Amino acid sequence: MAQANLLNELIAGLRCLPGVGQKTAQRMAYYLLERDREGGRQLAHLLDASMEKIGHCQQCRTLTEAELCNICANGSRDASLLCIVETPAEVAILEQSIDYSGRYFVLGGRLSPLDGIGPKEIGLDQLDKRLAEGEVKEIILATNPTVEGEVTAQYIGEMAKGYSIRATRIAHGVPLGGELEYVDGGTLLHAFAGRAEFMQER
Amino acid sequence: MQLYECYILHRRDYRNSSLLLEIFSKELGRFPAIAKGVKSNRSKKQGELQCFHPLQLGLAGRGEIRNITTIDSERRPYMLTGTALYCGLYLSELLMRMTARNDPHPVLFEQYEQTLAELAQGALLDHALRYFEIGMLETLGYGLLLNCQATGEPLQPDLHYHYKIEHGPVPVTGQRRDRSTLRGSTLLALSRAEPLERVAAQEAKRLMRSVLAHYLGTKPLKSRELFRPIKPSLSDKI
Repeated sequence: MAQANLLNELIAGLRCLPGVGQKTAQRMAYYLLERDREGGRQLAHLLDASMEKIGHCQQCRTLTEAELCNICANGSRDASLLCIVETPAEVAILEQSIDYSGRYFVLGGRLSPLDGIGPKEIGLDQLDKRLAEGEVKEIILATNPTVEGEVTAQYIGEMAKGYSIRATRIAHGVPLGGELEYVDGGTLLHAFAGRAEFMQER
Repeated sequence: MQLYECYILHRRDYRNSSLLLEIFSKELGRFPAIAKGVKSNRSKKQGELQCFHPLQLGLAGRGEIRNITTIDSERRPYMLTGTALYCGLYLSELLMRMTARNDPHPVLFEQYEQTLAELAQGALLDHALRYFEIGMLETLGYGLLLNCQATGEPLQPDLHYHYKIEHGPVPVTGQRRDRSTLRGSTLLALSRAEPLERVAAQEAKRLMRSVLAHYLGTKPLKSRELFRPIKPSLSDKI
């Protein structure tokens, strides 16, 4: 058994990162100590500052060190469109990949009664207030296509209906470049049920 | 290799690409199992490992947590939509709370499957849930006495009764009718698994609520919150 010293503690500490096991943690620790102490110091400083300062945006609950995140603070973004996602990481990936000019609301989870997560725990009271303000005209439900994601979408959809706000759900189906033969049955079922008009009138 | 008929009650992420599942199986009862590597991009199985999907699973391992080695899903998932979806989660939570691990109940499994089918077909939700609850209690050995009084005397359809838990219906006289009492006709309808009219459905719901509360203890069922619209809490208003 390895002795408890600072080096071992560092290795054990690095293992809290996702995807990092004993071997990788060891490599990281030795690399920083032997090759890149400056980088290590900077990382330590940044980690410390981030853990201290980064909190949640007061409006959309994504991660930010300011009171409002860049998207919420940006006046030129369309406040009548609200996209509901489960995690801050999803905001980032959506921002990179699609041309979306509306705003976001980050739940930070999904409805899952067996995990003790109900409407309050994912900030739906806050969302309710936002919808009540009347600025939002359409919500885009971008929760994941799992049972819990579906339940969450359903619940929020009903909230929107109460305020006569249009609710849309992102499509799920065959992935781009995929082949029908290799797609699982459940996905095909959804793809078929959610088929869209192809030859649209102009 | 033996395959077991299973449903997934709950799933959560485990390590980078695996899932930790709570399985409800016909032959083995409820138990936890790990599905290794199903969350990686190369795996097609993730979409199949969902609640309400009839699965046939091959299992390995002798410890508390088994490993899933084979996943077969010839049958389609029950597509629950709208409020039926909430009901599905309610059933999962009931099974999690009311059954013990590794205690097989093949009849309960069939009752669960039957109820999922009813929910998917858009049956009356209240009706499907009540008869699942009654059937589940019966199967687990907590069966209710619905066709006669606690003393064994017959029920009068137009009299009111108080249901004394673990005893049975006790007649209520005069003024003591309140939200906890129900009519004899409702009890009789429940005992014959008949459809319930509106007032009877409400009475049955209150009855089952109080009976389940007795067995579930003080912690309420979280999935019930889904049936209530969210209200801004009082502290926000003030």
